[in-house]
Amino acid sequence: MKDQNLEISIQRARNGNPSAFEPVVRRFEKALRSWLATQAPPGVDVDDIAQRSFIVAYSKLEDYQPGTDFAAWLFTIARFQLRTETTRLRRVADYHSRYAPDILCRELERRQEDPPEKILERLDCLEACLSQIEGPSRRFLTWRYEEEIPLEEMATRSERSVAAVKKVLWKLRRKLRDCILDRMELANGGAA
Amino acid sequence: MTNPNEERFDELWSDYLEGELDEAGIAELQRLMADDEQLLELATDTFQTHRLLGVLATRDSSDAFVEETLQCLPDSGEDFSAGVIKRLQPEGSATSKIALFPQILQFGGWAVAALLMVAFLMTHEADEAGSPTSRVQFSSLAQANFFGERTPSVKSNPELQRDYTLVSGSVELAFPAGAKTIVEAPAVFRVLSDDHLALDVGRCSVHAPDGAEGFRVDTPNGRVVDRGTRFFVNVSEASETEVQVVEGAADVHPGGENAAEKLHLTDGEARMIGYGFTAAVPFSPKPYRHGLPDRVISYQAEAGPDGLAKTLAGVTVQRGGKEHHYSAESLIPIELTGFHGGTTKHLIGHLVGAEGTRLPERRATLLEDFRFDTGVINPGGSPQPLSGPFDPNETPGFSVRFHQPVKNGPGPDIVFFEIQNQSNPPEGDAFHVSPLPWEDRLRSHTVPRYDLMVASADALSVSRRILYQSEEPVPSLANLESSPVKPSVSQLRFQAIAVGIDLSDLGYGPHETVQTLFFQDAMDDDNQVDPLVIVGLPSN
Repeated sequence: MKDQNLEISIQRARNGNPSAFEPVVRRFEKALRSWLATQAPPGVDVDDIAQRSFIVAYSKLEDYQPGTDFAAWLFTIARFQLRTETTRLRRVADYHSRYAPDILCRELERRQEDPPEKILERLDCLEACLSQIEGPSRRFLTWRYEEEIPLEEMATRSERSVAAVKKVLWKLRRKLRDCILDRMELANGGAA
Repeated sequence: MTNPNEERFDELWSDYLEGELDEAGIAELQRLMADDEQLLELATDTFQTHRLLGVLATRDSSDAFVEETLQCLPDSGEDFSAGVIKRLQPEGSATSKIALFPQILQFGGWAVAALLMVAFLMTHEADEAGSPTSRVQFSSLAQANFFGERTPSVKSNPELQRDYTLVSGSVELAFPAGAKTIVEAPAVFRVLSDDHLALDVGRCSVHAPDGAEGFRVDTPNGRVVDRGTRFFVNVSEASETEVQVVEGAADVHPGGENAAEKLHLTDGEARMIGYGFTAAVPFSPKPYRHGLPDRVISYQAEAGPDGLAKTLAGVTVQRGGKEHHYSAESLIPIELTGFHGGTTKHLIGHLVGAEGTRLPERRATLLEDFRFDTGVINPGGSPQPLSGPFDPNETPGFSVRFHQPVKNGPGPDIVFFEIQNQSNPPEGDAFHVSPLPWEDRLRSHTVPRYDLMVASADALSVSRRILYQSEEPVPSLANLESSPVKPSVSQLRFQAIAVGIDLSDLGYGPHETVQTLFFQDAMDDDNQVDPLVIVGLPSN
């Protein structure tokens, strides 16, 4: 959607037409959900935060200045919603000892300052890297992420031990991570 | 492998991403990452990759996400959280908590619904785990209704770390060192320790006298620390925090007490804290609450053989900000002087009698006594309150005369009890009360909700009773006394709920005395008001 159309949709939504907000949600949902997925610590329902962000944005459209950067405004709201949720989790007494290492949460929080475009770029790179993984290895990723099959079932299907399945998945994640970093470095002329 | 810790890290991190790492493993992982920046970076990169793989796997869900989000948008012009919480109030207390969530979502309050769902789940988990209670007390409650649970008793202790979702009214919390907070609905809060409150949304007035300095209120984006003061905190549905310092001083820590920024506010200063910003806002002491409104706090009853409340023994009322207790002997009884139950026969009837007894010779005594198992109910009424001269004999409703004049003092002057069960409106049956005789300087007053409602732990269950169904219409007191009736025993469990009436609300001046009044159901639903006991309070 061109920015002019975006501004028209926002204006119509501001005038009390909720259906006018649909193109706005469609325009930003992928970027917002992807960004939140990479920034939110374990235990946070990413789609819930994304939804809250859109709802708060809609409720506060009066505060948005037409012609300014709507995406930046929306992501500021999302950062705030995420911060609120992570603060709440932090106050759950045993959250860090039982669910997420504190140091990981802090590093994720630090990365929240990364521009959202970087995450979309990372997502594109991941898709390209995934296309390079074929054959038996690829099926582990399909089982794990698309079909959400338990490790034990994956072990049975592949006639390996659970520990071996975990090792395969870990190696694939590392491989994808390295591939993403290489591609981003290349795209950015040597500085990922 | 150059890094000796890397192999162990691989193992632990892989287990973590699969959700199979225990607390000891997480602690070990934390140590490894704290000692090696490269491992931390590797962990964060692979965590993000892991999450993006999840995003790619669910990319077909875009349409569903968009559709669901649009359904959750609030109606334009509606106050977001208040609107949703308002709709949350159950039609009947028997409605289950879980059953309400689809209603919330249908009405479009995803953010608040999510917050409430989290609150409910955490509450539920806490209940199962047997959360420790605190030394903090619910010192006062005014028309307080909590989401999906009974209103706690006065002086009961909240559980630590448990979310309380206040959907209406207000509560006062007393902390051991002397700090007091008044939380107003709609609000979600929890007590974190003996000097520490967390407020996720809602308004809270704090008074921390000498000895209670250091009392803290956490909000989603900061912490307010008392420095000997009165202050007010308001957390909006967008999690922005407004702090107003009414007296003394307070330290405000945007981002929490460990964050670098700290603001020291003194009386007359106010700030708004949002994500990544703080801003000065106009000072306004008006929202600060010094106390809860005057009201009926509780009542006491003598129990019948079944152990349930049978006869009013006393009532505790806040008048002019002070708590007063009145024994039954000091209360001013009424005489029922008129009754008009409408010109059509009421299906349930108008008389409630005690089990094991016969109807008294004079049926009006069913309302005039202090018993909770007798009453004169379904009096008829009007959606519009009376606004001019009227003939009480021709107007649906009923009139009463107090045995002695009731003096208009501060706060409630009359206490009105009605019978209610779990399937009736939980806030009570609304009614109008009008001056009798009418005077143009006076006005009718409508009571929409009771001080002690069905959900209140202080609304006692009453003894079993007999309903007397009238076999014909009852348009007068004479008909009430003489019309043929058919008895039936009610098997439902009922409670006596109560509300205070302030004569000032009818336009009477301070210290003016009143001896007669007229009552009508507000005819706002299918349920009519069911009075059991009406008493005047003596002058203090």
